[in-house]
Amino acid sequence: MLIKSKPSISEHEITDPLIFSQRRQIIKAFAATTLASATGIGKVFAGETNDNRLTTTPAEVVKNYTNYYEFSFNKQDSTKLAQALPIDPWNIEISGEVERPMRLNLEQLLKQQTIQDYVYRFRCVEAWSMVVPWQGFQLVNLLKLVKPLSSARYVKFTTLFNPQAMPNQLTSSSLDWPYTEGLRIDEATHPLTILAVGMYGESLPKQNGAPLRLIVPWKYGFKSIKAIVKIELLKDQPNTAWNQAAPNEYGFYANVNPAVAHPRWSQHSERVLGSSFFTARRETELFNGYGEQVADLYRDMDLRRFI
Amino acid sequence: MLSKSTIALIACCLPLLFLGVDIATDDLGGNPIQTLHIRVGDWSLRFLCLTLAITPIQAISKWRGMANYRQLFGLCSFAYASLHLLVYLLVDNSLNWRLIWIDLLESPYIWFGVLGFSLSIFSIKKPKSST
Repeated sequence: MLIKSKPSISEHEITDPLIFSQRRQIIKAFAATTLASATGIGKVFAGETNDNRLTTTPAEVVKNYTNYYEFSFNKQDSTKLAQALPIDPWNIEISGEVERPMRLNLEQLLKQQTIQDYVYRFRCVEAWSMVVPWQGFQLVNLLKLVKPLSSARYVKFTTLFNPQAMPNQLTSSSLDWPYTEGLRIDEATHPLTILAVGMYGESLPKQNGAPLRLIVPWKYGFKSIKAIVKIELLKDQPNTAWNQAAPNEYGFYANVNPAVAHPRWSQHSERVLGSSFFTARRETELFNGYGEQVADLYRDMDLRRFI
Repeated sequence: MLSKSTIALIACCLPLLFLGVDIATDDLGGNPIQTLHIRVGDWSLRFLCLTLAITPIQAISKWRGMANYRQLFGLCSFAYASLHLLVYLLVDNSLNWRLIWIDLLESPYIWFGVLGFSLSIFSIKKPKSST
């Protein structure tokens, strides 16, 4: 089964690769004339439309624009620095409120799982977004293996702690290392929530969270923790890295919500990466456009309070 | 031979030239609009610092060699700030005034930019020969 997050997107709506590859030339030609005319007549800008098609972001952009603070605060530098990360072999520990705690070898785990495509919009809390074709499997399939107890109400994820390869884990006090994230159990078992092991049909690049990362498409990107080594099922809501560092700025839920501004910037719109100069920003959607699937999870919650 | 002031003017435009090259060669990274926006803003601040430093340097060191360029640097700071604003309005927001208005209301950091730019408009004066 291929999960499509937006049933309305059909194959023919995807931009022709040929046109796409020439987009920069086209835009540059456009830009020159547009700039000339725009100074006089602002009406030439059609800034009101929201492009809700899932047009895949060029892989090169996705591979060179990552927030991976363990390596660098620079989104491009982490591409190179992350290559030092040893990822083979890779083991994942699953423990806590479960019937069968396990220590799994990733390679063996992948043999049991059916890897599928998931094309998701990825919205960063920094107000940019990209559309990435991930390959992975539903987190719920992994959780089923360990048989969660009824007392398991939250899931906590932990990134690898390896200061030799991840230098900022020793020197940077920006976050409490290792990086941690968490979900409520109903969020973790939601069919949209996946563990990704690949993107663009290739194995996951190290800077993008290899070998195993979480993807929760209706939440801000920092929830989608990279290089996972530990998954714990817990009774109580866990502390998570960004929430601990700045609870008023980064909530535990971190659902994409244009109506709730970050204390320092608006979340109302986002820059779609790969879009050209003079393209209007995209209007951010509640739950990043996945409201139809996930809004029910929060029906009794005040989304302004539970950020 | 070019006069000193012409050379200074050309030097002030070099950041634009480099920016042009980076745009033409698609070398502004994964978020080129933001990079462009930040780069012209940074240059405005650099020229502002330079402009504001000239008088104190003169007072401390008695060296007056920079006095003739103070006005040029000040105008450059304003020019780059104007570009910064134009990039925000046109390149990033495509003159979508509704989005721009919401962004303005919800983003405190932009208030400083608005304040700074407004102040710089008032600080533009007619040329005055330095004595």
